[in-house]
Amino acid sequence: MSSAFFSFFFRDASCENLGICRFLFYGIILCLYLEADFSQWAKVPDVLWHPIFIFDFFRIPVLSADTLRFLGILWLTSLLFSAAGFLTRPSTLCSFIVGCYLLGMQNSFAKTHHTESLMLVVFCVLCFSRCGDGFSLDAMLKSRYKWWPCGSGVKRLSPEYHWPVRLIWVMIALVFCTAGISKLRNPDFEWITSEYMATLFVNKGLTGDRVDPLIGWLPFWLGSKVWLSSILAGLVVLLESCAPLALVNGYLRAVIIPGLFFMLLGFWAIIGAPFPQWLAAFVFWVPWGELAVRRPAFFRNTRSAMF
Amino acid sequence: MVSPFPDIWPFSNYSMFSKANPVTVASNFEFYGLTSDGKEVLLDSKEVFFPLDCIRLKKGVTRILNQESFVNKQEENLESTLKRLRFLPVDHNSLKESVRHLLLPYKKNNATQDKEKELHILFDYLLSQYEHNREVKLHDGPSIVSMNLYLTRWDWTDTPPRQVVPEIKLVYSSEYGLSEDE
Repeated sequence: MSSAFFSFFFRDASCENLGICRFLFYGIILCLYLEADFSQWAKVPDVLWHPIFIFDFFRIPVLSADTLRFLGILWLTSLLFSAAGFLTRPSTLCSFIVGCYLLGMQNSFAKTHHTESLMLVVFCVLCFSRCGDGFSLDAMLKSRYKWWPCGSGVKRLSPEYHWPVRLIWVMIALVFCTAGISKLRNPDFEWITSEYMATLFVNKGLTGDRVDPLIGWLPFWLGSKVWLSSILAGLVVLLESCAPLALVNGYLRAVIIPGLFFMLLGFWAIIGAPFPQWLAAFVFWVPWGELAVRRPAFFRNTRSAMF
Repeated sequence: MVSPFPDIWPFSNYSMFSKANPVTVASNFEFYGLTSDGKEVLLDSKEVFFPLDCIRLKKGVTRILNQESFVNKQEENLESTLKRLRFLPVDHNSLKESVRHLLLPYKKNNATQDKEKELHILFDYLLSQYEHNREVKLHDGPSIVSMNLYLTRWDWTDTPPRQVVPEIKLVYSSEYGLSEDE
């Protein structure tokens, strides 16, 4: 058991894969929040203030507009630095801490969205990892200037580059699994058999964005096909509750993970519930290091076949 | 629904859309702006009330209008949670009080709630934010002088969903206040 645990989390790996995941994840998150203006939250009235536990317990206030603007710029800069792998350790730490404040504050107004929680967990894992050792400016600077404080100039295999990716896998699998179990707790598989999905589609079609719907007719069409909606509901529950199996078997991973990815895209298109931050976390499932090694070989073979 | 206790952000049970409740009635709050020539325009684009998005804003209005039911729902959830934890060798009354005190923030301010006053504060803010966002060109809506909040309800039990004529009820007007039904 313990050897399985250790080989799952602490196998030797190159720093490239973790570095590419870091670059893509922070890069996508930066693009998502590039136009965010957090200073506007200072003006929102207290009647909408329903603080989340941490803000309520520690009496954390909403700071002034100028401070929020500064924190917003600081956060975006730290995301940029984290993506580029420049001063990676302090910048990933900063993006986690400042992100916790800004997003926690935002989620204390009226409604707590679930879209950002997984992102913060990933930030937390990355800020404790050596994700700046590969595919980063730090690595480049360290190999040129030995005194550079961040990154590693030596390319070597180490479990240090494996556990963060695997821990993020576990987090993603648990998130989907809890969502699946929540649905299964309805008696008699009601979530699948009770036409709930069909009525949800129609209700979202009616109450959704009436000015600019993503695909206006789709929820109504799916809602009219009760059997299809029930099959989709069954697939959703199956994929979500079986997500932990993706951790232990490569073949199942190849089915479950793309299935979950397209399921989230489907939620976005049909019921207008976007999860872009969750979708960004899927970069950790792609073996970028292996692709980077295989790609030149593929091109070599293709070129030799062509000429 | 997995962990017995309420969510502690950023951790969650991710139980959104998980309660199977097939209903053929849908309802939604809709904000309309009144221009100076008395025309009503639907304010439903994402940027009109930035930084508040539509979902957050509608949830906020629902909380103001139904504060009591929010508190009751939390209490019911707490009771059912504690039933599931009866096997624990602890003092259940003090556990209940601790959970209520720590995790149910809505409990604290329900006694002195004044819906009309809170909606007045909210609508003053929304009006000024709409104009601010218009000035900085976040949206290209017309200038408005006042706002109305309607509850639109679609009952598609006996009618195909796309042919339903919705019932529309005025809930709050920034000019005349809360509707008598509320």
